[in-house]
Amino acid sequence: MTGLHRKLLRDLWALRAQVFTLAILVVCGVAVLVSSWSSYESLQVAKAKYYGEFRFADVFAELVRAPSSELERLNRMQGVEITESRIIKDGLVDVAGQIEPALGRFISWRGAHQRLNLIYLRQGRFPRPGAHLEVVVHESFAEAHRLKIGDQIKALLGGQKRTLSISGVGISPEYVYALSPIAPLPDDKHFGVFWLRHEDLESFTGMSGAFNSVLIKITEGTSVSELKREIDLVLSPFGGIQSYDRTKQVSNMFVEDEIRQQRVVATVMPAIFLAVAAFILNVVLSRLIALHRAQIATLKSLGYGAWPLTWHYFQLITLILLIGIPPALLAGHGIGQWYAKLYRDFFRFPAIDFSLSPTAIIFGILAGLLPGWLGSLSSLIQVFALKPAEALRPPSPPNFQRSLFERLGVIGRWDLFSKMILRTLLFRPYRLFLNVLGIAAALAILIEGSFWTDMLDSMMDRQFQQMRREDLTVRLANPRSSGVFSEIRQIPGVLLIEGERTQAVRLQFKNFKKEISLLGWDRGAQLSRVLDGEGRAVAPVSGGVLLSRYFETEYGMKLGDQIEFTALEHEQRRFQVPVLGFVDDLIGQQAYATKSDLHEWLRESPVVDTIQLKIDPAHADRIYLTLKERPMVAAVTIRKLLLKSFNELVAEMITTFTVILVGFAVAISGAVIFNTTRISLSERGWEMASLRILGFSVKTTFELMFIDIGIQVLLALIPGIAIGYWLSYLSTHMIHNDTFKFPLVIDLSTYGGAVLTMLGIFLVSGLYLYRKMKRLDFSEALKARE
Amino acid sequence: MKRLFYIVGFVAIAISVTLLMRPMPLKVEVATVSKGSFDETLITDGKIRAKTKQTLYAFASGNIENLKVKVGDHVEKNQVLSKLVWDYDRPLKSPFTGVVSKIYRDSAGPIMRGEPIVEISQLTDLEVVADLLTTDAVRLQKGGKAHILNWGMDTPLEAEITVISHAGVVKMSALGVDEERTDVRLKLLRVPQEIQGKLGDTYHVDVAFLVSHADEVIKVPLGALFKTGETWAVYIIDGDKARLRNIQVAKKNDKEIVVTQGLAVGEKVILFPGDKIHEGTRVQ
Repeated sequence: MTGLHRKLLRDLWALRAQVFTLAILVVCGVAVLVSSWSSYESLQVAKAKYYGEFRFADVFAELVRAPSSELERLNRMQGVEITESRIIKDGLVDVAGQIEPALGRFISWRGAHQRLNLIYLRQGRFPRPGAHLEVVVHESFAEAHRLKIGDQIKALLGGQKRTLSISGVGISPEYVYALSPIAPLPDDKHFGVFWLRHEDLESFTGMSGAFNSVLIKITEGTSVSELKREIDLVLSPFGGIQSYDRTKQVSNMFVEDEIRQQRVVATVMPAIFLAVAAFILNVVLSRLIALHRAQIATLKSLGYGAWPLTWHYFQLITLILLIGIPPALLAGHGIGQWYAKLYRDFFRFPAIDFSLSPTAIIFGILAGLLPGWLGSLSSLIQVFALKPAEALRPPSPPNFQRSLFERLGVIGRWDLFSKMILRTLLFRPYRLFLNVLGIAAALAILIEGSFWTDMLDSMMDRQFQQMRREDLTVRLANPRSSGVFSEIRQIPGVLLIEGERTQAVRLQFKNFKKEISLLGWDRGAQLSRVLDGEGRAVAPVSGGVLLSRYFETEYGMKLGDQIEFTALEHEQRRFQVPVLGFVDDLIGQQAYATKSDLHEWLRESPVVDTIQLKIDPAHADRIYLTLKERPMVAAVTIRKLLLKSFNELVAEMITTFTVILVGFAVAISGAVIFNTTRISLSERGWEMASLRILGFSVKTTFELMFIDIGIQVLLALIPGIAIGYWLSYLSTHMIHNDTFKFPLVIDLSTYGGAVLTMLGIFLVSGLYLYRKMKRLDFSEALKARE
Repeated sequence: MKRLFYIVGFVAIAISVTLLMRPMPLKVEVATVSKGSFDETLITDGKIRAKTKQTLYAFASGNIENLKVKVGDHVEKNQVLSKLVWDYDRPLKSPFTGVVSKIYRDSAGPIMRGEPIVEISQLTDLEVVADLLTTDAVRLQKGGKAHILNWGMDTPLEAEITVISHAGVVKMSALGVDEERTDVRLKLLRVPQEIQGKLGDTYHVDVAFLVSHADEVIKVPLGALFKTGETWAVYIIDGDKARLRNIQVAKKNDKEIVVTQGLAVGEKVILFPGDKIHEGTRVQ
């Protein structure tokens, strides 16, 4: 068989250009698959290990205040394995080097007796009783402020300003993702978690012998919903709101989401790349077989059996595919390391190890090979079934009848050149269709790769420029009467002031329940607005609530339906109101009403808990300082800084991600266009050589082919844009969060850029084509047929 | 054919380059600069108070019967509220028509001379009491005008300052710090009949004191302002582009600000220009 082996190698070399482009496609697809799948696995492993070793609780509950004796009742419940009570208190934190305040979450820690949600210490040591008040600070806050062991920060805790000394830096499974309860985005500079000795926090908050938060570990196989209900019953007289499990724990939610998304990315993106690769392989192979018809027939008649020959071509295909695998694994490893670095910045695990998982490698190899094999199946069957005698006959001349256009007489008056181009194009309509489809697919992928930045841009713009136009948001520890307006208005530099009242409620409709937020705001509010899908401001309606569109589509609520609300606070006030409309907000699940209605339903006086301000920047520092001094102020968020922080953290990641994606897309586009060029060249080499001999110039023959392909590219533009739009739409649907719905926004410049890139690649291919045409070896080309 | 191809190709390139280079016009919210009257206001919390209140005390030691009324009940002049029994049997009567505002003692039983029993407020003579920082109270004068807002219905009521107390008191503010405050009392002017019955004692209102008034001034909504360095500026719309304009401003109230230099009546300004708006940005 060595003869066939030599033929194999020679064929491979002859096809080197196509093999190269195919390899690029395989690299792209397999690299993404391998890296995403490996990250998916590493995240799973890291998470499971962390949660297990550091005893992450299963059920959490927050309440106002209960005596420690109540813990016994929880302990005795069926299914409860371990309980741990603790105290959580939020307070404003003053860090040196930052004028505006940060929000600190202070959690009590029981030292050696701590049984759940243990702290992993990165540096330093745990707090000890002594002259100084010591805390362990969460790593993300420490890094954001470059805090060292021994540094001091001030905090407004329990109405008093206290100086805290940092004894250690640590992390906890509860805060793998340190998201502030009030900001929608991670903001490590303005939110920090601190762990204090239980005794210290007890005395500051006046909660000796009491607790306001409880962690529970359940035994295997317990029904969580049943248990949560029982817990709520026990804790509700103490102001217990709703207990929740890991699925609603913020940090865990984000980790789970990331894991899920990696899984999707590992499947969707490679599927696209490899489908295109399979398609190209199919085309390449069928052309190759057609070219080799005579060869195969000769070999068969010489005695080589059908199986060995088919096996030979199979080996060729497999080799072509395999060429891409090692670089793919290498690239996958590289991407994976990049992910790991990203995760180290975002998610705080004790250690996250990224290595190519064996499963991922196997998947990768299979993914690289299988589509290719499938794509080439038809060609292999052809090889197998080829009858030597038939093959050795020259192929019957193709049907050169007058085409439809000619019969219509439309192009009767056109010049020869145009007629030639048109006839060649329409000659094999099936091939034309496939080519156009291939180019369109490449363009679609280019668009799909670049639209992510558009979408992110538009979401950020909507959230931070259009919906929220305030300079500062002040959150109060408790709802306060409108006296706060006059108080804050008096601070020099305050220009505009508006207030909102938000209440966590349980919504009940027929047999469906959900915990959501009910926002009460004023008509005419300018600083903080509710926008609909079109970007228009929505005004609150009196007499009922407005609900997010989500409720209409998911649960079939209609205008006029009566909804029952239970306020999730100490007294659990209930009220029933009609639905007066739906809002196409993007952040899924909210209810909206006028402030006065909300006060009436909650049977309270006009109070606010959130205040938005527009200020004179010249007075900003003074305003922050004044607000920091106020015990009732729980948090101050500065929109500009939040945005800046987000940009620093996330924007870099998104840009890199987009660059990689677009890089891949360009690779595919290049592969498709270049391949089409290359294949046309090899098919029509004989034609072109004949034309040259007949006297046509290089320029003319070049243009014949260039325009031929050019028309196919132009034809593919519109379908490409359409498919690109559709692919982007699919992507937004697959990669979505439970709470966010990603809107489909594609900036026109993205289309412009994608089309320009395609045309650019086409022009470059044209250059290559011109070179080849010039150097066309007539004698070789003419020998191609028998 | 050749020409057709090159033309179409060129057009495609041209369109793509245009789309790529030329950003879409941004949607903005717009307001018009206007000229008119401008009130500088100082807004604070206030309460409606009945000027005439009387507390009924036990005029002898003896037994009192159950009080026949509850807080909030309307009582007529000389209506019998209870009975005090000692050597005699004396009914306890309401001194005037009004409303029961406080009850100190409602159950039957022994009572000592001098113990308070019930307080009646006369609602026909109401005043508004506002609580101001001492540093703000000095900006007001007796006779100054104010609007009463957010008392329950949309129409603001007009009021006039009758007394500015010169006795300051230290109080805890809504946000938890100590402040020196003083009372300012206002009388309601022209209260329409149908509203009369709606206002009660210790009802919460917002009082917008008129600190100064100007006519025929150029003003613009506060939402349009932002700072470039040390000066205030706005973006005006010129055709389809945004243009930066530095302005000088004077007094402000809670919605608008007086512009002394830089804007003309009728010009359109962009409200809350986001980070994307610069000099020359296309807008719609």
